[in-house]
Amino acid sequence: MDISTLTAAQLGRAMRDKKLDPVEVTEHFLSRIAAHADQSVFITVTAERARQEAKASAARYAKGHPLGPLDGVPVAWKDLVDVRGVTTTCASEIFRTRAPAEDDAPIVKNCAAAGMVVLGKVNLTEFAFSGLGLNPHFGTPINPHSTDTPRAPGGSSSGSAVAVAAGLAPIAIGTDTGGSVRIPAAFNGLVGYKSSQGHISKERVQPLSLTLDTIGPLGKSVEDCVLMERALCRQLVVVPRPAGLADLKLVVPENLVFEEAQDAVVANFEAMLSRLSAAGVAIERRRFDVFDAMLESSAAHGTLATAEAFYNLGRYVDGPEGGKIDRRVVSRIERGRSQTAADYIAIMEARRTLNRKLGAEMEGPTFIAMPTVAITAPEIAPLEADDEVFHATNLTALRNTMLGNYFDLPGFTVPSGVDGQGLPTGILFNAFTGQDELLMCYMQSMQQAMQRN
Amino acid sequence: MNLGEATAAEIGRALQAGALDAVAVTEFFLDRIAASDNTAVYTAVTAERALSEAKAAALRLKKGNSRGPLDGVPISWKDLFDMTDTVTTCGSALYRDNPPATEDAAAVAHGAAAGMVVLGKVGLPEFAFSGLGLNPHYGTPINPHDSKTPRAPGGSSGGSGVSVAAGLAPVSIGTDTGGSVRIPACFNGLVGYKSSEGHIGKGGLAALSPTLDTIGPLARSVEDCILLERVLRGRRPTLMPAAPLDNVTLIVPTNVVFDGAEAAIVANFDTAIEKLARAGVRIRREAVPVLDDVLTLSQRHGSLAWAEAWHMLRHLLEGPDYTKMDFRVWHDLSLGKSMTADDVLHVLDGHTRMRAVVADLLGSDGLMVMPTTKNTAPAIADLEASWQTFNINNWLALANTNLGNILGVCALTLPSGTNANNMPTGFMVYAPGGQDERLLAQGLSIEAVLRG
Repeated sequence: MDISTLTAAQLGRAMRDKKLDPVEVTEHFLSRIAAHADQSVFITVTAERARQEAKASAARYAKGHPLGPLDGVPVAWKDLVDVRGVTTTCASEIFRTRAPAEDDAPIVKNCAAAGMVVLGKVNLTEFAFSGLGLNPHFGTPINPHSTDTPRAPGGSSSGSAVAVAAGLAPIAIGTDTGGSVRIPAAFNGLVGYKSSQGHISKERVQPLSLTLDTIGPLGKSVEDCVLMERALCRQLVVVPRPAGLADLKLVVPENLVFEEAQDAVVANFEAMLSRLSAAGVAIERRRFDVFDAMLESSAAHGTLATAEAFYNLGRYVDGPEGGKIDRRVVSRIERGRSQTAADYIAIMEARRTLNRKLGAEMEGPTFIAMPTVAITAPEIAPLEADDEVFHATNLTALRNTMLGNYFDLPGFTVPSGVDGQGLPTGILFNAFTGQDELLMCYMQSMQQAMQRN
Repeated sequence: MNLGEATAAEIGRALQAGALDAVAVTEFFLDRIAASDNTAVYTAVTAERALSEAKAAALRLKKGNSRGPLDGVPISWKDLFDMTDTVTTCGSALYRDNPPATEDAAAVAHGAAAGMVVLGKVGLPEFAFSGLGLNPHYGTPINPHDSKTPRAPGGSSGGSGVSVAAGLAPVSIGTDTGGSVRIPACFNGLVGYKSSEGHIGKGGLAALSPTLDTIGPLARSVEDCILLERVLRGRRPTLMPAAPLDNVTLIVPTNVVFDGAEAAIVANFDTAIEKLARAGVRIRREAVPVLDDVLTLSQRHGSLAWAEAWHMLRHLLEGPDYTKMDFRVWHDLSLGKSMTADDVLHVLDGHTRMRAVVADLLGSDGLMVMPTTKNTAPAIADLEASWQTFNINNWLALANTNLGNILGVCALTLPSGTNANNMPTGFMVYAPGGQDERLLAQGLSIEAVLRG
């Protein structure tokens, strides 16, 4: 059995059936991490804690009372979530040597309560503020799907995605403010789940934008992400039941989301829709005026992300070590400096109004489907060479996913295929605000339908 | 019964008992309004509507199918509420020629559904943005407590305060964003109740600060405030029993709230505290650091009301007709212009933090008490003569009440006496946001002690 290719749920079942031992599983991943050529994926490996937790898990299995389907399953944490005794670097030079976190974040505790093993902390875009995953301080994790030339991992949860895609962890936790779970999941051929605002605790997680930040897992299957959501919410008891697809409607936007989209991205997206349609899902295509209205608000007042990022991070830019922050991250934070109170209020007002409007357009089980990212993982070198190319590519990468943050939609990205170079593409399903459970119920059936030929 | 001094509940009881006739009651108030030389109190008198509502109430009462204890009781509304067929002026000359509202605001409709008779709409400072109540466009309602010197009504619900105090309505509905129910209630010797954010629906209310705006009655008794709280929420107006004060702790802040207060106000406040202590209420005098935090936050980052008001009204404040606005109001409404998004986020974060501190400090049996205002109603001529005098007095009026809006509390102001000029002073009670029911039930008992 190749441990590193199994899903988290498969690992859990194998341990339950005594085909694998938790200590063996953890040791397997620890050795793979140590042996992996690209050492920029993990910022900290918590080997000692992992071994202790694996041993405790083994003891529980031996006594016949594991803590649930993920007991003994290792997990990697994006390095802006506090893990006791470890420095939360936010992948920033200015936090590299700051004091270690005094306690686990509640979400870390919740996963520990489900028996999960902390492998360590993984890399990200500095302060999680961009969608491509480049990091000049801790290195840029290389997308393992690259063949010709090193390609971007996607961000900001770059290390989370690469850790799973490269078989260094079965599952990882990221955060998503504009696409930071879903973009790297799509670039790496993974499933990624972005929760609704407030669905999963953000205590002891470094904020970028309190309004937009959400937590979510990156895994190899919908099942893994569903189990992980349960663990993150400490809700292991009730697993959402798969729903029949007959009454489901998917709406595909005709505006915005296909602009600049690569051919393979569109072709793979349409192939998935055909399979879903064959499984009985109704497909509707139409314009979403609320998307245009969102862009108008952003053009007039700037974005919520920059305003709130400046509030959270402006103090570091203005601090004594401000010069050490990635210039590309600084330039995005700086946009929030000049936004006025009236801008902020206007943005929030528009957001509330448009969210309500969208809600009225999503009656019944209705999800909005779109390509997760319009492009596949870009080459790293041209991005590093030219900041304008970087910023333009970054905005393209974020364009579709950020709709989900603006409108506070829970979303799942699942792999839709690969392009001519073997680079993964993703399809994104968005449910309305707060419909996380509903989305999870349908996603399990939808993934099955999409895997059928 | 002297209708000009009766509470809404008393009038309601007399109507229920058949001792009064609803049409006669309404005519009494309409006649008094017409005869009053305090002509700026009402911006619109809806006599026709009032008489038709009164007739309908009289019929219901005669047939024995009354709509409850306030059926047939007249009421006045601050001119920020939409009322069918009247212009919502917001006290601004810029809105004088606006088209009339096509329907009642939610609160007005709830009042009508409870059988209350709409006498009309009462004045306020332009866009409700001042604590003193002066209005150069529609005139300033005169505080009835001084027959010689015209004094400020308090604001912004100045017309509401004067309409009740002068016997031109038994009760009136105002709004409170920084103290606008409580200040005029205090200046006019009335009871005023500021509800918690979100407690009373604001549909059809012209917004100043959508977050901080709250609705509340100005009345002659806590009982009236309770009945009106029910009515404004669309519920049946029933009274809860007065809550005993045995387990209540009153926290009297030793910092901030007495700074700069008039001596008579402090003396009357202390007398009220002594009465409550004698009645067995626990009193704790202590520093409440979160009050200093409120001031620090405002100094550093401004106020949410400024930012939201600027956002709501910037089209006028920067528009071609801005010179037609009261300069003092225009100036204060423009304070939000220079605030940044970063400021707003600091303010919002501060609200969350400080509100949690207050909830912890007061728990489920603590109340914070302080003088309502730090001044008594100033002479209008002095305020009109000097912008500086206006500003100083505006701040003395708003200082303590505004703490409550930032801290998200619900509040009552009760009369605590008068100063040497016979001008009323107020005793203010804060409960944590959302504890309106407890505040009102304990308010009944506090009122009884203060009156005893």
